[in-house]
Amino acid sequence: MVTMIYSAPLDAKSHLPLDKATISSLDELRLPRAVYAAYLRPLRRAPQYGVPVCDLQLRSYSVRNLELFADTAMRAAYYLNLPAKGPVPLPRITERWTVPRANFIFKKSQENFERRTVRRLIQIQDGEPEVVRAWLGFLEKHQYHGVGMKANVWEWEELGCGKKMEEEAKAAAEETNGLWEGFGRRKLGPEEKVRELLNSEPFRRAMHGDAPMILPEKEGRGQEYKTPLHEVGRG
Amino acid sequence: MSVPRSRILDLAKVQCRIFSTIFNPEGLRLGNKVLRQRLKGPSVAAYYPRRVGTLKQLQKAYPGWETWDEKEEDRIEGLQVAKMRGKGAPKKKRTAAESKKLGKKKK
Amino acid sequence: MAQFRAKKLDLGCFVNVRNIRDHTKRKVFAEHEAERQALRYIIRNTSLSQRARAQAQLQLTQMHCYTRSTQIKNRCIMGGKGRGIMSDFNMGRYQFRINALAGNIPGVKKASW
Repeated sequence: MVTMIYSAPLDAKSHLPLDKATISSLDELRLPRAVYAAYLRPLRRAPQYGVPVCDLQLRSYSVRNLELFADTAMRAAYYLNLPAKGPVPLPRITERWTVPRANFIFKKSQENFERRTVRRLIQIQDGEPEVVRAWLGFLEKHQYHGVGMKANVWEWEELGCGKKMEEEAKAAAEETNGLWEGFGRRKLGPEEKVRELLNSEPFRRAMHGDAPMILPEKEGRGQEYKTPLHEVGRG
Repeated sequence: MSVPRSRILDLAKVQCRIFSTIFNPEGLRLGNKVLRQRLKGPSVAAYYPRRVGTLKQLQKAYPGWETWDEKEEDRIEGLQVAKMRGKGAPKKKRTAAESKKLGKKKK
Repeated sequence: MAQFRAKKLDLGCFVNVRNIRDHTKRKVFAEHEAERQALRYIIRNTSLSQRARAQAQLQLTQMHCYTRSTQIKNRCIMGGKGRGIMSDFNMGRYQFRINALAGNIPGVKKASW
């Protein structure tokens, strides 16, 4: 049972113990269910189909922080109506290093250091992608210190999603329309550079003064350069 | 039951188109493994920690706010003192003639 | 080389001529990596004409040595040492020991098993 803490009355008789009737009536009072649940192990929902939707891996160097945060994540999943499995303790990673104690020579006297990474896995089953995202967002917002998170998310599409995706891609391409041209870390990848180089003056001369090579336009949504360059080079 | 070679090649071609790989049935050396490699530059360049959180960066981030840079204030004060004593930096010479004149005077 | 060096010091770790130089090399390498890879691709592509490939070879050899990845060397971020660097922590072995004992490296403790 939960121990209750009575706030002492402020009057002069505060040192007097409460009479029995008051104590028993106070004991009968119970905490709200949601508060009471905080003292118990986290509740969980039963999955209907058991289709994995999200694997969340928590990593930390300290078990206490990790346990606390895993507990929080489980509770959050319960209140978001997400059936969650776990937290499954995964094998811990132990890394060890041995270094000489001295800064110079004396290899005979060394010291060992280690770092143990403890891990927990929480799997969400049968969740709506949107709710899962909300859950992940909540956890990210309330990150706990010293606990790292890594999530693998699987989303399931209904049949005939190919057509839908094509339409979406078309709409997105129209919307952005060159807006994202320079977006991303890789500004000029090797593929574009190859084209640029092969079209540059010294290379053109090296190719026996052939006309500048005409390179095929990029196809629709494929952002990566895919046309076989060796065919281009022959042209 | 044997399948004609052309049919298999067609299949390979379609496969390459779908999975965005290079169609190379003869196994020529096209050097594509170079293009497939990951660019190491960004991770290599991030080896040393960058200088962050300086007062100047803070000032830039919050232009309307007042910050106190002790070192900078000291430097400016020193410059003012030097100027008052007539030991400040000489005036910048704009033309060649100006700088020449000064040289002759000294002689 | 002076033309590559940042006009203003942008290092937040131990500063040393060699550290600055290595940092500069890293930045130059990152900048020119795409070009180098493109040239390497042209050199290796047997379907291109021999002359084009030779041209690419020439261009690659004429690039500045700072654009080469082999010029880069891991150095200690705490003391600038060039040898005995632990790549997990970017630190020399002695600096690693000092910092680990002081508790500055998260999770690293003295081990005994």
